[in-house]
Amino acid sequence: MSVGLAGMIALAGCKKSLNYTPEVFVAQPQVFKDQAGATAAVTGIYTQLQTLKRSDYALIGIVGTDEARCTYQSQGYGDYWANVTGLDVYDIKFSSQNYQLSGFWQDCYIGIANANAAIQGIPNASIADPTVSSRLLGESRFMRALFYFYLVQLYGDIPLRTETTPFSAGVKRAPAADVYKQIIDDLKFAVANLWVKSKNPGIGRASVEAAKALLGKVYLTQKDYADAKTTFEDLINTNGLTLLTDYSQLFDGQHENNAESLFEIQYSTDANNTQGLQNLFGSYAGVPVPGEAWNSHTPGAGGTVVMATAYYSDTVFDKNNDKRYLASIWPHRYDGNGNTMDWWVDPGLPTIKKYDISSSDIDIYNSGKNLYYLRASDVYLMYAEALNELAQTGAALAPLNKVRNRAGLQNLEDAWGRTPTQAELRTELLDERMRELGGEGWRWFDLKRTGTLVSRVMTHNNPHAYYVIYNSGDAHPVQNITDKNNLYPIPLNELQTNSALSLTDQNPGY
Amino acid sequence: MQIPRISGHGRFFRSIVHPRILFILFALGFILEVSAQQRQVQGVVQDAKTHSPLALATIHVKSKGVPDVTKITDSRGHFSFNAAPGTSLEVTYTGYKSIQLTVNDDSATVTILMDAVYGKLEDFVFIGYGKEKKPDLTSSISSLSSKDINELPATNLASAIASRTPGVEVHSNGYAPGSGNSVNVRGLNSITQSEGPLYVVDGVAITGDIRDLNPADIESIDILKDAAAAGIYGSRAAAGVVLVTTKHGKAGLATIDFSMYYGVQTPNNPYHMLDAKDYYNLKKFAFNDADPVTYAPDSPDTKFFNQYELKSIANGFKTYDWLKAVTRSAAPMQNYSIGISNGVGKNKVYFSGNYQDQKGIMINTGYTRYAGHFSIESDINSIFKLGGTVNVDHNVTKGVTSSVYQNALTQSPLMPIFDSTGAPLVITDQSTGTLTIRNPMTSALYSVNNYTANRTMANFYIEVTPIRNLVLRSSIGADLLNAESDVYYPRNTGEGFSTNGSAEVYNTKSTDVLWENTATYTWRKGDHDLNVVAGATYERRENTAMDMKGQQFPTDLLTFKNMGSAGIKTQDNTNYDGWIVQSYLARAIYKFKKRYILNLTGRRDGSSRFGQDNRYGFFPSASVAWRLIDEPFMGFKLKSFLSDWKIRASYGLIGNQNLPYDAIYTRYNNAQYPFNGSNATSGYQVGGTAGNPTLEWERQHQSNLGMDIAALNNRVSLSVDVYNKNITSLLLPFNLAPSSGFYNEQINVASMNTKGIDINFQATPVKTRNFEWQMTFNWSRYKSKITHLLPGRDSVSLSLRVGQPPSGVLVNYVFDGLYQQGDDFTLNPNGKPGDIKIKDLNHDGKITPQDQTIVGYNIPGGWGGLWNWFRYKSVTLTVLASYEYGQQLNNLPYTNLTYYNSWFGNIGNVTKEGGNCWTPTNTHTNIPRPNAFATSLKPLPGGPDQGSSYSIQKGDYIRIKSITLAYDIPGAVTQKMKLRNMNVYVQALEPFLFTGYKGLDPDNGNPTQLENYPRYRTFLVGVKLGL
Repeated sequence: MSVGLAGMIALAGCKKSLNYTPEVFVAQPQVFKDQAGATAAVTGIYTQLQTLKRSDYALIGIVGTDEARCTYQSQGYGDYWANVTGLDVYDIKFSSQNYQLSGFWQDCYIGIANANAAIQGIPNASIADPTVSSRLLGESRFMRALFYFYLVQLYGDIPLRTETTPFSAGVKRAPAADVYKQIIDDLKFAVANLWVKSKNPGIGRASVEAAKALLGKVYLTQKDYADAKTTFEDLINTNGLTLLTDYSQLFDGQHENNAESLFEIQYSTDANNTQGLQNLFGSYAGVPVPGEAWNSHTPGAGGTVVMATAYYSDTVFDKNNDKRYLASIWPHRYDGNGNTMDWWVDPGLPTIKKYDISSSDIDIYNSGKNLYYLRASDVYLMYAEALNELAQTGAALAPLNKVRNRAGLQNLEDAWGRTPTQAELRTELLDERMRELGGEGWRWFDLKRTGTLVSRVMTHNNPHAYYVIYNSGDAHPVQNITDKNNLYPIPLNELQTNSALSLTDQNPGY
Repeated sequence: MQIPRISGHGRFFRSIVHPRILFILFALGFILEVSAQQRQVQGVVQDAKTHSPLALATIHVKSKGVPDVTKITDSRGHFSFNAAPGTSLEVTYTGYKSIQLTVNDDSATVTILMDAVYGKLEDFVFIGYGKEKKPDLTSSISSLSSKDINELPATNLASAIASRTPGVEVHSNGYAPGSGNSVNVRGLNSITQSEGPLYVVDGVAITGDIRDLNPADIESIDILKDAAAAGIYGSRAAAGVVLVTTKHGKAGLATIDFSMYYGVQTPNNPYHMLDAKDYYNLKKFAFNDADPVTYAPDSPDTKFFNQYELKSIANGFKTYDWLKAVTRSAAPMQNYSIGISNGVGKNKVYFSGNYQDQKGIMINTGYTRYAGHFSIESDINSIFKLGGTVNVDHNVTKGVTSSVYQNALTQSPLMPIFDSTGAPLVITDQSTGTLTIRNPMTSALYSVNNYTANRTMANFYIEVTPIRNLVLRSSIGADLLNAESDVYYPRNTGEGFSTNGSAEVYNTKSTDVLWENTATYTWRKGDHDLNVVAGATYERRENTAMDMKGQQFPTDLLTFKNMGSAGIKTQDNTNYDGWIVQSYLARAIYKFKKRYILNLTGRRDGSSRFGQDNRYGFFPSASVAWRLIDEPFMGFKLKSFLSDWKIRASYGLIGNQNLPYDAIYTRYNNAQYPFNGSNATSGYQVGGTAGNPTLEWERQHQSNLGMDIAALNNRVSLSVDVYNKNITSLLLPFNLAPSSGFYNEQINVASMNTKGIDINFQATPVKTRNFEWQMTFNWSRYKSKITHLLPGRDSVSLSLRVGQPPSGVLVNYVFDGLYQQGDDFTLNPNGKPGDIKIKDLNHDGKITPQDQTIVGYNIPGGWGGLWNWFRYKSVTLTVLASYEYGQQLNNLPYTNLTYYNSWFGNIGNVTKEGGNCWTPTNTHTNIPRPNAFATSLKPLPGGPDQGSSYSIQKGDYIRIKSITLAYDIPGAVTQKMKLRNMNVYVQALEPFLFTGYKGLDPDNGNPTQLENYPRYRTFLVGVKLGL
C-alpha cells in the first residue's frame, strides 16, 4: 500500500505532463500549413490597412495641406489632439514624438511584418492550385509595396525589412532609392501574378488593375514619366477604366466597389470593421440647450477636428456648375433636429462631406463606408500629369476632360477658350486633383511630388493669418511649415529601440 | 449519561491480538478495578464568567491503578465518574484553557469553572502541509480564529482580516455590496505581475480571490508572510500565502449553532452640493464668464435653462435632491446561519447553511448569497482515515451603472426628477427619436447590471498510517467557478439610447484540480524532535470565457436575455487558456531540547507557462528559532516576570509564476476583413507582443528577523518582525523597434527592494472577576524601491524609475496658485485671471509634459488596527479601529466636483466649496474661475482630466470599523430555554471616519473607482444561540 502511494507520488511528478499549450491562438507553423491558413494570413495584411486608415492616422495626407486643416479648438481638446493639430501646422508637436506620426509608422510596419511573414510562409503551404499560391504571394507583395510607398514618401530613407529579416534585428535606414526598387519589384511581381478584378474571388482583393495603377503612381512619384505613361496606357488599353456617370454616387455609401474603383479599403458595420472618420470630419451638431446629449446621426455631425480650407470649400470649385462641389462639401451646419444652423466663428467654414455616414451606418464613430485608395479618375489625372510632364500637353487634355465632363464641366480648352501651357496645366491639374480627389488622402503626396507643399500650404492653410481679420488677438495656431517638412521626422522610439540606429539618424531639421 | 467511546486503536488490536492474551488483560483490569475504593461523583463544567454550562467538554479521569477513562459532559454540562483517592481530572474544551485538578476525598460533587481563551496563544497554527504549535514557529505567521473572523459581519474574508493582522494591507475596491478587496502582504511584490496572495482553502490552492467563500464557515486563517513560511508553496508564494481552514465536526454530541442579524444601512455622504439658487447664480456667472457676448449678464433665463428649470425658478427656486432620489435612506441587511456538528463515533460531521441578503444603499443594488458547507472526517480503523470538505456558494450581485452616483451629484438641482406620471423625466425628441434630456434615475431604475457566481471548493483525502510515526496522505481538491455578468441598458437610459439598447453577457468558467500526495514522518527521542514532510503535487487549471455584446434591440423587454435579437453584435468572443504546475516539496523541522528549532523547506516547481528550458525552478528556505524563555540561564526571577521569549530568523527564495499565459508564444491573433464591403472574412494577424520562450520566474529573496515576547503570565505580549526582500528577474515589457512590426516582448530584467516592519501588541490591562479589558494593537510599514530597470536605463516613465517605489508614485503638474489680475500669462496665453497656474519646472517658457514631477506617494507611511474588548459581568463591548497615515491620493473626483465644468458632467452642479470660486470680487480662494469651456485647465498638455498637484490630498485617517455591545444570557436562563448558550448584540459598522481627506474614502488606492458608490453606516442587531 505504501508502495502504491509512493507510486502515486511519482505519477504526480510525471515530466511530460507539463506540455500544455493554450489553444486559443495559433503560431506561425500552424498558420502556413494549408491554403486556408495562408489565405487567412493574407487577410490579416488587409486588416492592417483597414486599421491604419480607420481613424486619425488617416488624417496624414489630408491635413497640413491646402485642402484641409484642423480647427483651433482641436488643439484644446488635450495633448492628444494637439498632436493631431501638429500634423496640420507643423509646430512643436510635429516632432519625432508625435503620436500620429509614430503610430502611422508603426501601423505600416505591422502591415509589412505581416506581409513578410506571408511571403515567407506561403511557399511552404500545401496549396493545390499554383495560381492561387502565386496570387496570394502577389497580394502580399502588393500590400507590402503599398505600406512601403507610404513610408518612403513620408519619411525618406527607412529601415527596409523583407521576409528574410528577423524581427528582433536592428536594421539601418536604407536609401529611398533602394526602397523604391523593392516597391517596383513587388508591384511588378503583383502585376504578373494577381488576378484581374472580375476574376478575383473577393471584391476587395488587390487586382492586376490596382497593381498597375499603383505602379504607375510610383513611377510618377519618381518622376519616371515615361514608365508611368507606359504603365497607365497598359492599364487603360488592356484592362480598361470606367467612370461612374454620377460623381455623388461615389460617396453616398450605396455604391461600394463600383466600376470606377480600382482598390478600396473595406469597412462594414460588423464589430471591429468600422471606421470613425466622420467624427473627425464632421462638426458639432449641438442641441438648442447646451450640455444635453449630442446626436451622432445628424448629417454633418462630428467632433469638429478637421475643416476644409477656404481654398477647397470656397475657391477651387465652380460652385454653380461643378457637380462635385455639393458631393464634397457640407456648406451648412445642422442641429440635433436636422435643421440648419449658424456656423461658429470657428470652424466658420464648411466641412468635408465625403465621409458622412449614411442611414445604414451605426454612428459617426462606427461607419461601414469603404475608403477609396485608387480609382479610375485618379489614374486619368495621373496619366494627364505624366503626359504633360513629357511635354505632351495637348494629349494630356483628353484624360483630364474625361474627369471634367463627368463633373458637368466643359472641356478645359473650351472653358478657357484656349489650350493651356505646360506650366498652366501643371497648376490646373493640381487644382483638378483637389476637386476630384479632395479629402481622399492623396493631397500631401501630390503636393510633395509636385514640389508645391510648402508654398501651397503657406498660401491656403494659415488659419491664424486667415482669422486675424475677424478677430484681433486670434487664438488660431500659426502655420509653421518649412522645407524640412517635406520629410516627416523618424519616430523617436524607432531611433531608441532599433539597435542599428542612433538618435543622430534623424531627418535634417528635427 | 455516559458516552462509550470506542477508539479505533482498540478495535484494531482486538482483531490482531490473540483472544487468550485479551482475556488475561481483561481479567487483570477487573481485579485492579475492584481492589480500589470507589464512589460515584457528580461533576458540572461551566463557563467561569457566565456560569453557563459547557456541553461536550472532555474529561480525562486518571486514578492510580486504573486505566484512564474519558467522559463527556451532557447538554447541561453534567458528567459523573468513579473517584478513588488521588483521582485527577483533566478537562479540555475548545476555546477554553485546559484545567487539571485533583478530586478531594470527600466531595460528592465537583464544579469546574473554565476560562475562555481569546486569541490562539496555545493553539496550533497551520503552516501548509502540516501544523505547528505557535510557540514553536520559526517564521512569520499571523493567525485569526473563527471568533475573530465572525466579530464583524463581513461578506468576504479579506475584509475580515483587514486591520487585524500586521503586514497585511487590505483596501476596499468600493462600497457597493459584493465589492471585493485588494490584499497586499508586505507591500508590492512585482512591478507588472502583481496579484493578491495565494489562498489555500483546506489545502487547495485557489487562483484569484476567494470572495465566494462564506466567512462564517471559516475556522481559522493563517497568513504566511515571510519566505520561510510561504516557501512550501514555492513559485506561487511571492505575494504571501493565506491558509484558510474551514469548520470541521468536533468530537462529541451533536450541537446546533444558529445565528442571525438584521440591520439597516444609512447613507453617509461626504459631498454637499449647491442648492438651486446658488446653482442658478453660478451657472449664469459661468456662462457669462465664458462667452460674454452670447450670454450677456442681462440675457433672459431662457438662454441658460430649459423649460423645466425655468418652472422651478418661477416656483421660488425649488430644489430637487437627486442624491436622495438614487439612494435608499435605510437599506436593510440580514443574515441567517446554521451550523450542525456531530462527532460521536468514528465519524465527525459538520454541516452549515447560510443566507445573506444585503440591499444596497443605492436603489436597485444589492447582494444575496446562499452558502452551504459540508465536512466529514471518518476513522475507518487505526490505519485508514478519510475526509472531505465541500463549500458551495451561489451569490448574486446587483450593481449599478457607475455613472449614476456621479450624475446624481452633478445634476442640476432645478431639474425635476420625475414627470407628472411619476416616471423619471426624460425628453425624447419626436423627430429624431433621441433622448435630449438624460436622467440618472433611468439608469438606476431600468438598467440591468448583475453578476452571478456559483462556486464549489471541495477537497477529499485519504490518510494512511502504515507504521507508527508515518502518515501518507493523498488528496484531490477542486475549485470550480462559474460566473456570469449580465448587463443591459434600455433605450431610455443615457447609456443605451443612442444604441437602441445595449447588452453584454460575459461568462467565465474555471476548473482547477489539484492532486497532492504527501508523506509525514515524526520522530522523537530524548531531546530530539524531528518532523519531515515530503510530497508531490500536480495542478491543472483551465479557464474559459465567453463574451457577447449587442446593440439595436427591437424591444427592451427581454433585456440581455435574447442576444439573438440584437441588430448589431459588437462583440462575440470566446477564450480558452490554462496551465499546469507540478511540484515536489519537502520540509524538515528539527527541535533540540524544545528550544532550538530549525526548519528547512524546499519546493521544486515546474510550470507549463514557461518555455521548454525554463520550466523548473527550485525554491529553498531555512528558518531558526531560539526559545530563550526555556533556557536554564533564565533565572526564576526573570521567569516570574517573562512568560515567553523567542527569537526567530529566516531566509528563503520564493517565486512568482504569474506571467501572461501566452507570453512565451508569438501568437497570430484573430483578424477580420470584410471583402466586398459586407461579409467579414476571418484571418490571422501577427503583431503586438512578441513571444519570449526564455522567460523565467520572478524571484524573491526574503529575510526575516522576529521576536516574540510575553510577560506577566501572558497578560502582555509583543511580536516584532523586520524583513528585507530583494526581488529580481521582474518582468517588464521591453520595447522592440516599431519597424519590427511588434510592440514589445516581456523580459526578466528589473529588480526591487522592500524593507519593512510589522508589530503586534496584545495586553490584558484589567482582569477581575467582573471586569476585564483586553486589547490588541498592530502597526506596519514598509519602503519599496526599484533598484534596476531596463539595461542602461534608470527610468521607464516619469513614475517608474530607479530609486522610486514600483507603484503609487503620483506624477503630475505642480499647482502654483491661481492667476490674478495683472499676472504674466506667458505660460497660458489663453488664460484669464482665476485660472490655474502651473509651475514651469524646466523654465522653458512653456507648459509641456516635461513640467510634470512626483507630487506625492500613494503608499502608507504606516497602518494598522486597534482592537479593544471590555467585559463587565456578562456584557461585552468591542471596538475595532483602523488607521493609515502618510499616503497621498490624487483626489480627482473631489476636484472635479468642485470645479465648475468638470469632466463629470459638462455643466453640472458643484460642491458647496466649489461655490466659493474665483470671481473678480472673490480673489482669495483656491477654487478656479468657473467657466463653461474648461479653459482654466487648458494649459495642461494632458487636458482637463489630468488635474495637477492641486488635487493631491493627504489620505491620513482613523476609522472606527465597528462598535459591538453584546450580552451573554446567563446560564440559568439558557438552561430553562434548553439552550447551550445565547448571545444577543447590537453593532454599528463604520460609524465614524476621522480624516482631512475630502473625497469619499481615503481607504482606496484609486479614488476614481470609489466615486461610483456612496459611503454608508450600518446598524445591526443580532443573536447567536447554541442548542
